[in-house]
Amino acid sequence: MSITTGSRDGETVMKIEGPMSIYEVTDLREAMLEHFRETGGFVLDLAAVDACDTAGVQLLCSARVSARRKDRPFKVLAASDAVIDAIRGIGLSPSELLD
Amino acid sequence: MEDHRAAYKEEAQELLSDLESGLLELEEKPDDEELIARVFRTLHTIKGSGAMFGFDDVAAFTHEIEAVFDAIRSGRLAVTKELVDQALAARDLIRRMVAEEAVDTTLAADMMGRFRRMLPDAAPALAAGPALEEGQDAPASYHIRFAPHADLFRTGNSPDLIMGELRELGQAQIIAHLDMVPPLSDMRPEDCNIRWEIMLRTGRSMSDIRDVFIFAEDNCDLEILPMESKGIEDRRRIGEILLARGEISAETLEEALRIQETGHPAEPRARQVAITVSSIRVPAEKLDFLVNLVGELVTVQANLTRKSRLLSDAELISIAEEVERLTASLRDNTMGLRMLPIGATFQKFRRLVRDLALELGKEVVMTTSGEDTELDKNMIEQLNDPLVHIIRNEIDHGIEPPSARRALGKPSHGTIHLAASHSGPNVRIRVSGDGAGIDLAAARSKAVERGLIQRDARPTDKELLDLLFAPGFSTAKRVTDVSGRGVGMDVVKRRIESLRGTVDIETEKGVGTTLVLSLPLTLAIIDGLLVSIGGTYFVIPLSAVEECLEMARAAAERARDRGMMSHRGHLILYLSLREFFTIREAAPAIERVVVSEIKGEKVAFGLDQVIGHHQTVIKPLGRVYRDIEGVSGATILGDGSVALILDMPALFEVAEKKAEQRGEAGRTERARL
Amino acid sequence: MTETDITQATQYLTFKVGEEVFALDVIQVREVLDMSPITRVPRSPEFMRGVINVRGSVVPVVDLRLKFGLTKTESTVDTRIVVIEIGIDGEATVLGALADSVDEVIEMEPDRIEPPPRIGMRWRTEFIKGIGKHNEAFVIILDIDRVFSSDELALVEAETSGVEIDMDAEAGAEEGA
Repeated sequence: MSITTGSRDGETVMKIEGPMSIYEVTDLREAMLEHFRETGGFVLDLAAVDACDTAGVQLLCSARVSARRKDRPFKVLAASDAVIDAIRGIGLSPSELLD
Repeated sequence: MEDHRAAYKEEAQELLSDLESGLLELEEKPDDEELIARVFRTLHTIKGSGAMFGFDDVAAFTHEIEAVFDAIRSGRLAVTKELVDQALAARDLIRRMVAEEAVDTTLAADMMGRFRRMLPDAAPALAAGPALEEGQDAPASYHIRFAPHADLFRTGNSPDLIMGELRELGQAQIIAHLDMVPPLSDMRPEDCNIRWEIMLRTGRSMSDIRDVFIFAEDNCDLEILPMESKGIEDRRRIGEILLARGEISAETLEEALRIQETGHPAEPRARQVAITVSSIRVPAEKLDFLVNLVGELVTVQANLTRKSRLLSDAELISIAEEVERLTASLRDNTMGLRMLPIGATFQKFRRLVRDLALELGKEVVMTTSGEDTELDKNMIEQLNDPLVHIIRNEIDHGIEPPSARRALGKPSHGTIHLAASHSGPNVRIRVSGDGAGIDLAAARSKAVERGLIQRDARPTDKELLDLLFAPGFSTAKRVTDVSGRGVGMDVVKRRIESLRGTVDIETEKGVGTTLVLSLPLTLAIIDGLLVSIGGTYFVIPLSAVEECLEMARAAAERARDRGMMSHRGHLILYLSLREFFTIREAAPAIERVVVSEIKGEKVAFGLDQVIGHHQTVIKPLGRVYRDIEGVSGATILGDGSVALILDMPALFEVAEKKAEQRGEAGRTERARL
Repeated sequence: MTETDITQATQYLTFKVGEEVFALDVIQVREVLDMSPITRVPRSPEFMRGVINVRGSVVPVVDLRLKFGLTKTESTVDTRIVVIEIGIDGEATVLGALADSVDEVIEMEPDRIEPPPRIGMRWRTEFIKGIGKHNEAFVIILDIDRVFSSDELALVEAETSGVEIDMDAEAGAEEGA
């Protein structure tokens, strides 16, 4: 798993590549928290995520909660099939989580 | 990982004994669907967790058997005796694999092949996919609530896989509840904070659904409720819309649905508690350690009580009493932790009975009663060997071959009945067989032949039966592999007595034999009578005490010389413990006598003083003192000193022997009265 | 500590039985207790004095004086019970040993310890690990496991007190008998 941070149209973009699973969620959470602290809000690019499990989906949900509570911008720019399948798999709708 | 492997091994052994008893039951009830499902589930668990903990051989081997039972479960294959035989043999092989003993690989491969060939042609090894196969019931709907514990992910479970499996069972509507997901700052990303609710419409059974959660079971709260199928989809859809709009919370929806379905709000909390009531596994050593600590506490508490009375400080006495009450309750609870129902042990003997009967060409069924009777775990373990021996003996020597039984007008199959029951402070275990019974005349000539009794002796029936427990006695006419090598009932008797129990035989020629084992509930605590002789303290198990008497020195000396005393118009055995234990201190003017009843006979023990009731924890005397005659253990008194526990059956034998040495005169005298 | 570092010094507990000073590797010693009332276990050998309560466990007590062929230990202010852990037939067993007094814990390097002499010993050599020297006095290091695994009542050679006897010759005589 690797995280690269760039900027597009004035927004911070955090791009995750590789798996997003129980083994990565601890590091990902740290990275996301940092972005919330430093830039206020950010955009996630999940197009290069090649595997995602329930822990990964849960982390996305948690990030949404954080953004809503702090009223910070947060959205998902793109998501791979792996992410979308994982979201559908546990009974959530991708549109709810990824808009 | 090693820890997990050890835990798996332990659990697998338990599963394997479940499997064994399941298979044996299945042999009798080949159509019992519940039973088939149980066997399948057990195999599934052995396989699944085997693979998880690196027992690949176990997983691969078990898979083949599981596949066969899956076919049985879906009605594609029938249970036959041959199949049960094979499955039992396979189970034995799995046991060896789990124990990491050497396994004959060609045998294993052979067996796997045999199971594979049992499968109906072209059937998939394990049913998969949205199955609409034959043998399914009409679809029904289920409401599943799946609330993982926080550690679900860490135990290797992934809900997306579970949901996938549910979808394969039928139509599943899955709702994930995210309301418990905290913001990033408060979250532990490896904890599972999502809960699910699933509406499933499937032709599969409840237990099939439960199987999906088999590995998550211990790490979640799970509720599977059958629902009325009519109209539920519509209600659900409305609910979903409301939920999606954020108009109601997930809980509200759930509750509303429940009311709709059942007409009243169910008791969701109570229900959940009922399902999550769980047991935890504790190593036996930890329990033993706890029992030891409680034993020490009992001693210290007794000391505190004694001291507080000595100081006669009212406040201290009341504290001491409170401590006493708590200690007693703690002790009872701790002892209770080690109590197990004896049923599991009984079940283990089914296999023994079956295999033995097969080997000896006999037909034997085993029945049980009182399986719920609880006994100390250590006691149960110690009972295994004696019971094996008794059962073997009965099948080998007691139960006749089918042809002989028919000729006698008995049913061709013999019956072994194991019964357990409480009887006062004891547990009674009866092993009955409707076999030939014991031929007392044959027993008598055997005893003469072995030189155990004189040719002209006229022993009573009871005395003859007691001889069966003499070392080297066996009434079998031939020596078989099974029993009858001359080691036998004497070992049984010694073992039971070492547990402070007794063995009795009831028999009727041609009708059958019953062995009655009487045992204390626990090995660890004794209710006793504290006595003293010349300043040394002894404890007599209260269960052996009938009454206490006084006797003047002259009468005591007479009793000592004859080995007998008169008691309520009868002559009974008498043993001076002072003499037997060679205690040199001067005897008091008035001796105390404790009368016991052992094996139906009264015997009196002479001693100095009876101090009173004493309940305490039994301590082993250790190997240095293990062969001391007449003493079975020790206990610690309130003042911290040690008292010895008397071994009453052994002392009874001493008294009997002494009386015999004093000549036949005393013997006939006793018989006459 | 310079050159002796290679050979680790061992700590020993020394105690007196009669006039003799004995030593035990401290690893085998659990604790030292003051004399307490001993409950006699009937029908057991005399040197087995009985049992005591050591923190909730029942522990047998052996009279070393009797075991060593002396008179029974009388209880004095100096009498101690040395609680030791020994292996009998590969099983760990806790025993109390009565000693006339317990002196101190000393350190002895292995090179200060001599093997037991084959002759001239009042004590049977198979029970002795070696003879050490401490403060100009001889200390007998006991092989306590052996002392208690033997069924012999007395540690002392029968009727040989003070007489020089070659052990091998004695053993040979027994075999011939």
